[in-house]
Amino acid sequence: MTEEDVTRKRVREILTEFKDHQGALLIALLHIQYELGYTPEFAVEDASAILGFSQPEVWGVLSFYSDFKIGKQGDHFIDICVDGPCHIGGAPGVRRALEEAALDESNKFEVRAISCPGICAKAPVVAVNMRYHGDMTPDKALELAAKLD
Amino acid sequence: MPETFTEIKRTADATWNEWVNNGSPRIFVQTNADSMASGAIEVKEAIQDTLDKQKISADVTVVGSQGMAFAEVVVDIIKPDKPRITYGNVTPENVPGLIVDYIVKDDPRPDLALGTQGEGEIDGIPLLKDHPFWKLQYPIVTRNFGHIEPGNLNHYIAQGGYSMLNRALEMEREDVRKEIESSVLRGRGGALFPAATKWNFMMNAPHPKYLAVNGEEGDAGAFTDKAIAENDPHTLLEGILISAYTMGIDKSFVHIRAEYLVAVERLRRAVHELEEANLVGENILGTDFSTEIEIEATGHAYICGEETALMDSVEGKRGTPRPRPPFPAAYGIFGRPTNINNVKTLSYVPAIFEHGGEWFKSIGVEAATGTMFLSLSGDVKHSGFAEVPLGVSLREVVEDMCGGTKSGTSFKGIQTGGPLGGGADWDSLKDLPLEFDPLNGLGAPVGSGGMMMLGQGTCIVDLTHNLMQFNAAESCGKCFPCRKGTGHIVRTINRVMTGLGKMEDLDEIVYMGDTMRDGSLCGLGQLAPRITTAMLRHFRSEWESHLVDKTCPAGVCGNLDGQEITFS
Repeated sequence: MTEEDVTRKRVREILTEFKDHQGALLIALLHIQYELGYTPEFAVEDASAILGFSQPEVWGVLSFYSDFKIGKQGDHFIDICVDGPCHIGGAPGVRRALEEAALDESNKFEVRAISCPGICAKAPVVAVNMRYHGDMTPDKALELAAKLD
Repeated sequence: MPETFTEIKRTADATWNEWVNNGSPRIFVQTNADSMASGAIEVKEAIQDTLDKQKISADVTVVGSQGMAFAEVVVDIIKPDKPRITYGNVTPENVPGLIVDYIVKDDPRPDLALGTQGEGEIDGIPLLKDHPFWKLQYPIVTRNFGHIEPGNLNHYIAQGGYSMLNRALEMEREDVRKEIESSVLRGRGGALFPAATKWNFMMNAPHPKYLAVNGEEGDAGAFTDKAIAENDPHTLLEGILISAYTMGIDKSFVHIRAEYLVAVERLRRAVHELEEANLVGENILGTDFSTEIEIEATGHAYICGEETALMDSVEGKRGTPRPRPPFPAAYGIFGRPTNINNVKTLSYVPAIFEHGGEWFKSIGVEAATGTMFLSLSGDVKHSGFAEVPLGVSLREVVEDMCGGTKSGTSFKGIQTGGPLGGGADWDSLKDLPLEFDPLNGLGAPVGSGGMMMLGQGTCIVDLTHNLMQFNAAESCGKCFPCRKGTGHIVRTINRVMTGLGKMEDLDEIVYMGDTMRDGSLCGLGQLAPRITTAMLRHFRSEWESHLVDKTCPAGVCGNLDGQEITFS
């Protein structure tokens, strides 16, 4: 079996597991997202077949909630909160520094702007591969980024 | 035969006493998502490492956070027969020294200490309750924060937990409701509807009926629902169970963002322990009352905090608001009668039930009873969360408790209630009490308790643009005024920020806001323009200097020559 076959088998298992659950569509898709770290495109077809929703309905849910990342993702992510307290705390500067660094080919990470994760008291915050770091400055963020390889 | 509550309580007390009196020093690491972002996990590892190396026997426990985010990581050390010392700004580097100095050499290190808690004093260290951050506070919802292991049922029961559920189960449902109603507890999600009056609609509704617990807290600058779920999930769960008994709820859905990893994990642990102890499920404590609680770790969309959108989200669909009527009490989740309460509202229930509605009323003021659980962020020295009685003066909250701005400049104003709230300048606010109506009148509603402090380095136009951008991004797109209006206001503010604006733009923003308020289907669209209206009302001169003098007083908007458009 190829890697994709293994993933697909697992996706179908998860979908089947939640089949009789109330409100199954969102919960099953979130389960797939959080287990794999992304949502494969074939999940739409499978969710439609197994849970009995039309494909547009499945796409509707996937595109609505910000948790879902469609398709295989890169190795590393630096998420930066861009909302109110982080914004006035200096997030734009941190974001600019990270985005410039991400252009450098030797750096293998992607910068994503995210919505408030509720760590406003430690603004601005970034999350390196889902681990949060508070009281960010451009220098500290670049230091964290330099540790990734 | 299920255990009686007396037996459960006896086991819990025994476990607690054994832990408290085990004779060795106890070390608490205050851990939640905030302190983990400051390195709480690393600090805990460093503590364990030092204890192993020095061959010290001590007990290390993860407790909830007491809200002092400004001093994180916070660690407490309790030596037998000594008061608890709370240390701030602990790092993996300074923690080995601290452990050796205090536990081995008996030097309590006043230089790192924030204060002592509990009985007794230690020379050179003040009492924590005298710290400016604590003087105003009145912990009700937060009473167990930092004192117990979050989600540990025995710890919670040893503090008196679930005895109120036990008492309620022996009473008539209507009597329980009346007790809560007498407290005039108003919905803490921001709508301020009296909670127990809302329950009234549910009392005689047909089964099955549901309770939706709203923990979908997407507001920038509000993090108190998360704080409750992370630091003391059992207070919330006991509140849910008492409310569920009162209304005869068959199933409660706790709606919380899957991204709040710590909160979800601790809530799940708490529910699991409840199931083991027969405090949730079939025939709770041997009575004929059965109810279920499901922790719904759900997708993030800010709109799902709106009650009808939340119901769609629980059903697994896109969370878009439904027109009302029918109201949720008649047609809610899966078409069944549903009551919706905020996490904070329900978390007050056990304490109100224990001490009585009159006690709760005596804490706040007539129009606003009890306490307010505030999220403090922005340009503020003491950031974090704090629970203060309603009616205290804002001057005390800001100048004493918050300790001024972090940047050292003077206060410009406060942005309150999240992106759907509002804000006002400091001169209008400083003589007002922290109360719902006066602040509402000023265009700075308390909402769910989010307070973003603004110093002189914050540009109001830039901040309003940011918050409005948030509202535009979170609009679900179902109805026209909100979908188009939010985007239109963002573009208009962007013109002001980049020097392309005209004075008429300001009127345009107000006019557009009026249309949105009157024409939108749900709260998001109706309330989204509040922030622009309030900021225009209180900071007009700052907008005008962008437009007329082409300067940004705070020096944030860099390009006012109309040449380059910056999006930030």
